[in-house]
Amino acid sequence: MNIDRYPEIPPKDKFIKKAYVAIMLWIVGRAMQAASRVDPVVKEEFSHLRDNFLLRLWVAPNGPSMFVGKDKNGKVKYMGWNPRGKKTTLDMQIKGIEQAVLMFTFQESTAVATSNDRLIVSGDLDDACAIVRILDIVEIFLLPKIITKLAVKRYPKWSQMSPLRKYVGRVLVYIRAFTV
Amino acid sequence: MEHIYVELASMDARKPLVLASRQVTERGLTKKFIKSLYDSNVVIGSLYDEVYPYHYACISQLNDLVELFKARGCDSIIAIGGGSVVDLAKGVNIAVSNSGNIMDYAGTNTIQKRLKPFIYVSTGHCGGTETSNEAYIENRRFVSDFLFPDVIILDNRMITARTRQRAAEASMVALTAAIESCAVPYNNPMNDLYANVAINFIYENLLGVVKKPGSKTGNLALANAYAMAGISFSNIPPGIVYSLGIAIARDTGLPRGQCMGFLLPLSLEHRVMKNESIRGELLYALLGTEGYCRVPEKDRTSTSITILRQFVNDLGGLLPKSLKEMRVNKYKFEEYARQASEMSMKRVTQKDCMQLLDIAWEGIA
Repeated sequence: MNIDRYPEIPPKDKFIKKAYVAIMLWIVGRAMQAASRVDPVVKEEFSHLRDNFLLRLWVAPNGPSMFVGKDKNGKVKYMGWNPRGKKTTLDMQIKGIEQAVLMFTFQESTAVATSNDRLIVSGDLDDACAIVRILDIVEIFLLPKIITKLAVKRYPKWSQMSPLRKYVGRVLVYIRAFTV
Repeated sequence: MEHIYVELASMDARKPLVLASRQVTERGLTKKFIKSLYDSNVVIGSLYDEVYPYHYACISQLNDLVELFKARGCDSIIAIGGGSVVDLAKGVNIAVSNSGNIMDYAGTNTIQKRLKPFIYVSTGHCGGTETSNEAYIENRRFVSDFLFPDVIILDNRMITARTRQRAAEASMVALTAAIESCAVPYNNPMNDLYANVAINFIYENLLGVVKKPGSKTGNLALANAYAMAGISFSNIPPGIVYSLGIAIARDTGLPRGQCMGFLLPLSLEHRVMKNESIRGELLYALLGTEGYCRVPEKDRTSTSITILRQFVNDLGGLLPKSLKEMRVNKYKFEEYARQASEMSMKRVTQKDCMQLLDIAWEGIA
């Protein structure tokens, strides 16, 4: 048998998809920081998390990542993508780049992705649930209703989130996310 | 399929040997498979796509693959497809995980230690042994719980349309396996659950797939049924139809599904003739709760046989009607009966096999 006829096949990279997910993670990270200052519900959710809280949301095995956590003053901050020197308290791992693309192109909501076994969480379950709720609110701020409906479990009614809070919050989150 | 690398990592493997048939490659499935491993840590040690799909696994090819496995430093095996591809993958796994000649491990429970990680990717084909604990190599039967695939992948992208004939044959093998696996008195509820779902999926989807072979939902449901039938079948010795089907197919080279398909309703009728009971759960699996409750208890056996007979008839000319039509030699019946009785570990007697073969000679009227 000529073994050379059957060579090794190393995996190729998916640069475009990786870049797309990296941008989305950056936007979401920045938006979480902004929302924690603008929206009372997000602020409340973060206040229940421990002082040294640090979330790592990343794509396995070597995809993009983002860090969001509390700084020394207790303020929520987007802390970039580099894991060096950071001690995470909550690690949310998306199993692969394809799964991440499904989530970040809003073909699958976070809840559906979890039920399809696309996420691995290391850390407190309470914290993870809080982060999923925060992510839902951030998506409501960032995206129009027609897209957000696909991404969140339940789109809030007027009684749950007033249009004033939603639209003012949206403007402020966008301004803070891309400027401050 | 994108989960494969996670599963491999959990078993401490990252360099699989991938086996497939030429047809699988021609249908573009290996390309899809390779793409699914992009951006992961898994390096495909080698992709061997020259396995004869509907042939038996032969020892020369197996030896070549063992050599390839070792030369490339692989640590796991992935089989894409069904039938001999999976048999060969299991054979390679036995050979690379154990020392000595592979034929020393033929028989039941001769393998004593855990094998390398093995993943089976279904393409909708069913030879009966893919998800089970057995393999046929050079027509020798290998049975061990270590032969179960560690992971079974059912992915819509990989399950493609087959010809009507192939769909019917594959389904008949799985249906036989499922029905016979719940037809023993010492069964357990878990096994029944697998078998009942398999029977139900085949009954509800096969005719649809035969009419419209491209049906994605139908083909996926059938692939699920094949996987579950294989698992449930591993827990009991083969029954009369399965053993006879294998014996005839082995000798004549005919597809197993053809041999089992028309023997199945005949065997149930044969059992009724002998006043042996048939479990009412068969009707439950075929018709579901409502249909099952609508039929009085005393009529459940006859109704299930009628339904099965009708089901096989509805497949039209896809299955043969008699052994005579299949040009099976009558003088070999005794040999088939002996082999079947041996394979079933005496669950069926040679006398019963001979009676069934005699009925099957003239076949379905």
